[in-house]
Amino acid sequence: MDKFGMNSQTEHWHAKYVGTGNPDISKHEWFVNQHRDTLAYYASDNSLAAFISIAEGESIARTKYNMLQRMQQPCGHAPRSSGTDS
Amino acid sequence: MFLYNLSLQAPTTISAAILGHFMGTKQQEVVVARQQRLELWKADTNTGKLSVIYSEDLFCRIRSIAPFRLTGSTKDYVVLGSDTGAAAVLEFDTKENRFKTLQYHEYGRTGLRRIIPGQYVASDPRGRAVMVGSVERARLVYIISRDTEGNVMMGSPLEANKAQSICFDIVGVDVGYENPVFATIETNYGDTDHDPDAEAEKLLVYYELDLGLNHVVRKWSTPISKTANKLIALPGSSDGPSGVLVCSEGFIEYKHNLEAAREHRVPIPRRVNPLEDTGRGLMIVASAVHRTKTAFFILAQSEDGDLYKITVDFAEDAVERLTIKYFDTIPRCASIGILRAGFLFAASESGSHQLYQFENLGDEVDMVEYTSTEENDELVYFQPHEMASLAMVDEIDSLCPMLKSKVLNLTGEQMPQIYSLCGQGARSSLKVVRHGLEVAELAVSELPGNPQAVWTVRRNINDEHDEYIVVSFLDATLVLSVGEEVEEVTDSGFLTSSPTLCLHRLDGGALLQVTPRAVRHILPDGRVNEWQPPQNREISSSAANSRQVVVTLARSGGQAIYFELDLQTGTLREYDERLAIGSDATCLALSPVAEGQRNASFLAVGCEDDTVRIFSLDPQRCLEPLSMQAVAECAQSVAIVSQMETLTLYVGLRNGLQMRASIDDVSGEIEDSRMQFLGSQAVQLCTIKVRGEEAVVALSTAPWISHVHQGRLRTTPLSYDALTYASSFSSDQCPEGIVAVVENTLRILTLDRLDSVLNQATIGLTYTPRDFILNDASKHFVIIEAEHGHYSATQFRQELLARGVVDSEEEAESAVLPPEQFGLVRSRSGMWASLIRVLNPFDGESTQIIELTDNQVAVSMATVTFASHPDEKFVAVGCARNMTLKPRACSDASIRIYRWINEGTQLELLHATVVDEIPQALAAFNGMLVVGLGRVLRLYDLGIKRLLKKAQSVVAPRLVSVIRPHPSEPSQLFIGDVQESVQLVTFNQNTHNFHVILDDTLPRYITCMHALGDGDTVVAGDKFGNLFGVRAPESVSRSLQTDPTGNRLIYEKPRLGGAANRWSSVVEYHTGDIITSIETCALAAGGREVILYTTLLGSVQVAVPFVSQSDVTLFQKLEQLMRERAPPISGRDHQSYRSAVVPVRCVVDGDLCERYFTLDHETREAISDELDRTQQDICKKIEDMRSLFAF
Repeated sequence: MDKFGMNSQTEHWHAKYVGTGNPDISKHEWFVNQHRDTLAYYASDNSLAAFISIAEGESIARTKYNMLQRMQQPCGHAPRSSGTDS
Repeated sequence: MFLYNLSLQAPTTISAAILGHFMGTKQQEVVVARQQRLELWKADTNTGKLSVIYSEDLFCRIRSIAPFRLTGSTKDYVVLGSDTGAAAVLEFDTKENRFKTLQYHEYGRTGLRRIIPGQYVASDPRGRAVMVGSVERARLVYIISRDTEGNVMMGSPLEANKAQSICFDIVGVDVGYENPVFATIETNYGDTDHDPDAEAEKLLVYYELDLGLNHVVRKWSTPISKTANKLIALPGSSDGPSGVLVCSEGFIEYKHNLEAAREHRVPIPRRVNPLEDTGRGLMIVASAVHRTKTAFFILAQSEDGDLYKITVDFAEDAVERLTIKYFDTIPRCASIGILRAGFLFAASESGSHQLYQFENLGDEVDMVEYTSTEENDELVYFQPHEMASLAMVDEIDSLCPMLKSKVLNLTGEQMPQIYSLCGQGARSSLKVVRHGLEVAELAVSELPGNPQAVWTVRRNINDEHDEYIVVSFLDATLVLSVGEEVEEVTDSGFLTSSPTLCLHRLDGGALLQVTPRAVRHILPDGRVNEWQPPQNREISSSAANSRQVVVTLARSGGQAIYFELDLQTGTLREYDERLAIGSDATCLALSPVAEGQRNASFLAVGCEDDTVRIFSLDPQRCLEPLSMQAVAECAQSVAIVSQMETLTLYVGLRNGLQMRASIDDVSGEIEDSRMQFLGSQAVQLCTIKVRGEEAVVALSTAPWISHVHQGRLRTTPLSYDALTYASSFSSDQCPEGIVAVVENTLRILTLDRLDSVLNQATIGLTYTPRDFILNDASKHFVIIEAEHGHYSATQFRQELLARGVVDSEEEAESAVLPPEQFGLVRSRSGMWASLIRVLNPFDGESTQIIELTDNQVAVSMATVTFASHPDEKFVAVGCARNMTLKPRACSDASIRIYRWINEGTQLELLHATVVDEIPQALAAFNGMLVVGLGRVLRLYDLGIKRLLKKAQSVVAPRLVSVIRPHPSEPSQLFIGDVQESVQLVTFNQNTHNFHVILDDTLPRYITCMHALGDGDTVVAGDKFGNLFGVRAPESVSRSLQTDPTGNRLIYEKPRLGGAANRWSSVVEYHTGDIITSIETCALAAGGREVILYTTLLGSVQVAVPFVSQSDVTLFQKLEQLMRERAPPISGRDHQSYRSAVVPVRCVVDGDLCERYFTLDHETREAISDELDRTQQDICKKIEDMRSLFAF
């Protein structure tokens, strides 16, 4: 246990906020998290979803679905080597 | 710069619509979510017309809504999912006629975030609980019940979180009165994030709320198709089998957790299309369940707009069969709902929203059915037909999506029009938007001459409809009877050989006609009592109600005679004294008779000496002068009506001004007067009724109406020809209308749609419009249209022929379905249909259509005048071939230069120049054409065979998306980057280089921008819904004034990887919707310039620059007080909403300030006390901000 209770606090953050980083985060993990944040925003914002659907010639429902679907694996498969930069 | 932001039109999109009994009556209403507004609509089941009952700005992003009805209750509430980080239950309060927050519970941060619930809301069909879900992980269940006093209570939230899971949809499963169950579609990324070999699976999960233990358990889950996107809950308990339908790409499955429940699956039939991409599944985008006492069915809509009817056969909780059948095709919707009265409400994704009436339930139409008990192919087909089961009964205009607009005054009207490119795909259009209420014309009939005035009259106060229409000509009067048909009558007792000045019903079934030579009292038995003015005197003006008559004599120095109806004798009795006005009167008006009184208490007189005077008609102080007001010109007409419980005096002046003031109902003082310019002709006022309330129609060069709308007094023009005179009209066919005379015609008009002050004329286009420019001389537009992933009609025909599907051109022709109903035919990603159109906006005729072949797409355009051809205007169009969106690339691109031929009605291709990147932005610059190619800015001059490259520099960090010339300096331009905000660029003639002088500190995803006239300030909009303004720092501005090419500035040392200097931000404001066009223009006649912008979801707004510092202080204080005392009912903090992306700066939200009118008296008083002003003062200030600068 450190002096300022830092560890317990970061643990709390990790539990509470999805995507809270750690010093050993890999590039893939970081990217995936960024993309998920962005995609979730696209699916939540009606205005932006309409904007994208018009550019793509799709329906808004399809655009939102595509965004959610991409949240599963936004940056492709996870890298085989774990821990280090991909 | 300090701005006051006002909405002229709220967003017209509908993102969600729900049905229910929100007013607690038998009638079903529709609640629609329109970005940040919540509206309550009702459909008139007799006429099939939709109308808005109430509309409220919530100042938050509404993401989802659900109806909720407590067990045993008859009234529905609205559960709101938004970006407030809170769950809210709203009720429509029928007493106060507005939405009210019943329960509100905060659970997280505000904003559109991944793990904060609000994206989905679902309610238990039996009204016991609601679930609020987020995109990822979080789900909260609230138990809702009544406390002992009968108030609605919301329990503490129960978490049903699942880490690392993404949610696609949530519905409440109808399980009767067992524990409430919510079904969700989710996928889990926990495994796939770490294991590259793991396969993600999609699950249907049931969450059960255990009411006894007060917690939520994940009760059941089953794997479903990976393409599942939508759930439809089926009725349960005694009404149905319960369970859910899972819609996936290509098929629909029935799932339920009961042992007995067998799975059922039906394919979604596809349209017969020989060129279809079979790899692309068909998706259900909207659905509605219709329940009757004995049965239910489901309508589901696919992306193509096809509606399917799904029926479920069941016996005792077990589904035996699913059946799906093509029903009809309507435009693609965001939401559909079936009203019990037999209507289908369709909230279109693009263009107007519609209400359809069911003509049959699709049983008579012979279409192939697919059932789950038979073996079906994976792909099954149907041939779509024209509308067979639905008939459209009403349409509500929508501007959404609004892709580009220009404010122009092509028709030379008093006010400029807004020309907007709207819509997507086959529903694309150019809309001409005008300020004015839409007027529906019911009938037009010719008259023998040009009449001066028209009245309607009924004999008894209790008569439902009018009996006569009386038209007065210069020398005669025509009497028409109202009935099945309008025809002339001669036995009415009216004098027809003379013009009429005034006409009214008198108590006791009598009628009054005032002609210049007589006051004629027509008794019910046909006898006529006449009063005649002295010899050589004529009656000049007159006013009457059912008991009082006032006439004035011409050239008498203002002599007026007052009559009262003597009820005992049934005769008109002349008052002993004559009224001496003091000056010749031009017009008269009586005040309306207050409730519980017999007589009008005031008489208003407009005089030749440019005054308006008020006299008392009170028996105690009869004909006593009370007050006088000087006006700018002689009054043409006066009217007194009772609006919002005050007596309002309207005066129409001969110079086209209208004065409005209130009359103190005790002292008769004229107070709180305000002027408005209506047109260049004298203003004639007529009183009519609108929605049962008194209103004034003011007729000048255009007709205007002043009426009370949603608790506020509003003066709006009517979008109609100039009228000579108008009156109320009521008949069987038209319960509330207006009868008017125009030149030599009599017209019957109605005002159906009072909610929108903008009306639109629509000109259809073929594909999604991208940009347009105007030819100033010929007033023709050039529009570029492009559609991704769809065939053009020509491509489709050619493709059919090439593949040998059809043998001849005619056959191919007949295979193309009309796109107006069925939309365009989908092709593959990376395929484009595009064209350049020359359009005459006056008749909507396309004078030329240039179809782009070879998979080319037009992306940008500009009008250019080259220095070598100073007298000629060219049209430059940037085109790309084989363009792909992700990644952004093309095989090759070109800039086509067209010249105008045939007097500016057609284009002729001069040449096309190949360029290496997609030319995203074009602009005229310095007698040359500047092109944004990716990061590069390139300058071209006109050559004989092609464009000649003159200069090129890398200027933008990402991609040049907009180029705007400097308003005064020819060597400067503004560049909008697709991610990196605005830059000021100068061109150095000597080195032939572009230099970035200023860039921004914030990344902003520019969609549009506009340089203000001072040359130092740019206002722009970004993709996250912000309006912002940046200004050059003083040092840079000064330096550029002395040296416009910026020779000194470009040698300054670059700072932090950018230019040497940065913009300073002057204005920041979050509008909540992507801004697609910004312009400066003057809207009101003689008004100052304002910034007008339009947004994607169809709103039109203005930002008015404040003139005085005292106004700024007042409105800032008022805004602050409004935030504190009347916060939005969504619970979103207004300031934090307007600062959603960047903290709000130097903008006052006018929409919030205008809510001041709707507050109750105490709150208004409290606010005005704190501001040290009177209520009227504040109301006037707020009104002025709108009426002086906008409308």
